[in-house]
Amino acid sequence: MNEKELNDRIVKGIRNGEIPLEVNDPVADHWLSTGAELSDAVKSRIKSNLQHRMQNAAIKQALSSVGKEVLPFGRFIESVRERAGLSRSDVAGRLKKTDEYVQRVERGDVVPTQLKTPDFADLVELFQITVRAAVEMLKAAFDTLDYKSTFRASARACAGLRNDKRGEDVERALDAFARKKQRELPRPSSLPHDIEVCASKLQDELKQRGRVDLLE
Amino acid sequence: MIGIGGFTAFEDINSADFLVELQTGLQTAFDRLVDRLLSPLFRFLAGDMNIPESDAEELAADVLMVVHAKVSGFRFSERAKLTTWIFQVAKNRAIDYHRRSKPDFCELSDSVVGSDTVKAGSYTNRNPHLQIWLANELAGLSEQDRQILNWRALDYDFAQIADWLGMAEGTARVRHKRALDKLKAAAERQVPQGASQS
Repeated sequence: MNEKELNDRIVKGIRNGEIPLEVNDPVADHWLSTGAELSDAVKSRIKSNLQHRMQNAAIKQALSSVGKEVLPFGRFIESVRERAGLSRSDVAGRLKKTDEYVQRVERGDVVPTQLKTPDFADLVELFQITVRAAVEMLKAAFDTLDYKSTFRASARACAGLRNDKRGEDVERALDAFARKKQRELPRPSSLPHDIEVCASKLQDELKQRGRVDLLE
Repeated sequence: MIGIGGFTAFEDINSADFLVELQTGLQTAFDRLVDRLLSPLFRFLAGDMNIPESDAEELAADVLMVVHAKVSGFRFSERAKLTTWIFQVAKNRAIDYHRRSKPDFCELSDSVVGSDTVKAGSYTNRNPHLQIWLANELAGLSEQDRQILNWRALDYDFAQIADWLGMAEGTARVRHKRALDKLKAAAERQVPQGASQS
């Protein structure tokens, strides 16, 4: 065996982890002190990748701390986002949408059945929601939406809500109240048609994206 | 132990104050670390560890994720500097990358201390006999001889190696030749059994 062959085998062993390579201060310092800087484009690409991964990790952690109560879809998104320490702009950036879009989804002004399937799938993917969980949240969103409309009208009639300019706290209070009232009623056993169609389209979209982990 | 030399450019990153900022989760500290380390990490991964450039980008982000998650376990007083620990994480990730296509793949741990010890010979895809033999032969050499052989194989020049080991360049050359001759002689005895697996 000649020197080149031995060297090749050593290098192969190092790269496979079979031959331990001590990465000590001099080796690290060597790489810190030599060579050119990456281009701005490459740096920016890596940083963006890193930021997305950190956001995903934060969302994953936040998901484990969300309670078991089934929230309307938008409120669930909001709750996870806030626990993950993300701003609406962060989420909007990931979805390639505006901050207002995220706000409207969170408040339930837009229900996912009204969204284009790819947009809904983007939300589901980002917040790591399974189809089954999404369906439950859609049902909750529908139920809440009906009640909220009723209560908003009542509140306005009683001068408790002077106009349609709704603050976040008012919205959340209406949501919470609507959910409470909804729980007192028997739920229909069949799935509303809109939700069924929406869930089916979502399932197809996620399959195409290879997100089998969200298909349960 | 190897001398550190007169390197000062990353002293701020390796300072106790910076480590505290990093460990308390200060985003600006992490951003600074990322800014400073991206290029060197990428070069190390694509250079010594032979990762294709497109994958080196992904792996560099992966390394920094690990650093973010585990830096709280790093202790300032331990033998390696913060930057050295980060390069050790990068090395482990690169080894995982190379092993991934192999049948017995399992991830290396990113423990803060002692990440260099790897069970030899478990993951070879071709010619496992010779690779195991070589790993064992290297393990039988002195630490310095092993380092000289490893670094030379990775194409570091003798002047650099000699500087790291605090010896004359000529001494490094002589020790490399002797260690290499020892390996070649051992290989001559070994190859008849291993040759059939080449």
